[in-house]
Amino acid sequence: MTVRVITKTREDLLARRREILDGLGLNLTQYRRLLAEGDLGPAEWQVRDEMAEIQFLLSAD
Amino acid sequence: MVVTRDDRGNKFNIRPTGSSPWSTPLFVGGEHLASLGFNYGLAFDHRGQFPKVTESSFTLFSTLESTPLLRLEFLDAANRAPKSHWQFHADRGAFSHLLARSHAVRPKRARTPHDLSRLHLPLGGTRFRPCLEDFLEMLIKECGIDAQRQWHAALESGRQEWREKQTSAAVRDKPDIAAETLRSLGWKVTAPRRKKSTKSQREANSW
Repeated sequence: MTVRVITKTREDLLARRREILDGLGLNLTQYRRLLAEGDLGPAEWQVRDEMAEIQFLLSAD
Repeated sequence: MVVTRDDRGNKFNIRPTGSSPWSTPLFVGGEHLASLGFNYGLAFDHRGQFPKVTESSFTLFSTLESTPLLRLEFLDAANRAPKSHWQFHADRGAFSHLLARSHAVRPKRARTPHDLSRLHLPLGGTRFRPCLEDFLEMLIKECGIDAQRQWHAALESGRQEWREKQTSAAVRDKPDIAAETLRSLGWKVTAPRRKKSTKSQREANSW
């Protein structure tokens, strides 16, 4: 199994999140509301794991 | 697999290569019918010594629809929902009826009467939750997903390692119970003069 290790800065993570949200046509508040209300559609589910990863890496220790 | 870490080296995320949860296809008789998404978040423990999983998510998707069929999730920081839980993306009229009636009486508890996927079915908290190997074995044995010849040995090996680590962690959570159990089995166990601090009972007993 090949394992790739990537280091991302806070700026990288924020930029990638912006890129994903732009692709969805949502802002972060709107995305979080959909997530909290269990209203993710197919497009949001497609990026949900990556959004969770970004949130996890950005969150305080 | 991709391991992404923050530039402080404090946190790590593990998931399949590619950003899409459809990047791990599942086949039945060679036909691509489903996909598996999984994601682990790891951070160092409170002593800063060992990485521990603080959240994980295993999701089964059908190729017919782009939303999940079921999810097995763990969130160590959860307090309203059980830390480890199943979420089923399914409908059942009688269950919706029960929740709708409950919603009328206790709207703050039964918040989403028509959406079973919003229920978090508890799974034994942090220590006694299922592992990825359990999820995969269920997919192979009960959903008929194709598997490699040596799948069973590989999953058993992974599960054994997981359960041994969880047992060890459970002993650290409740050493007095562990010592008492060992004594009942004939072991001689002596408590140290100074006991190390353990998880609070509230934390160790959380759902």
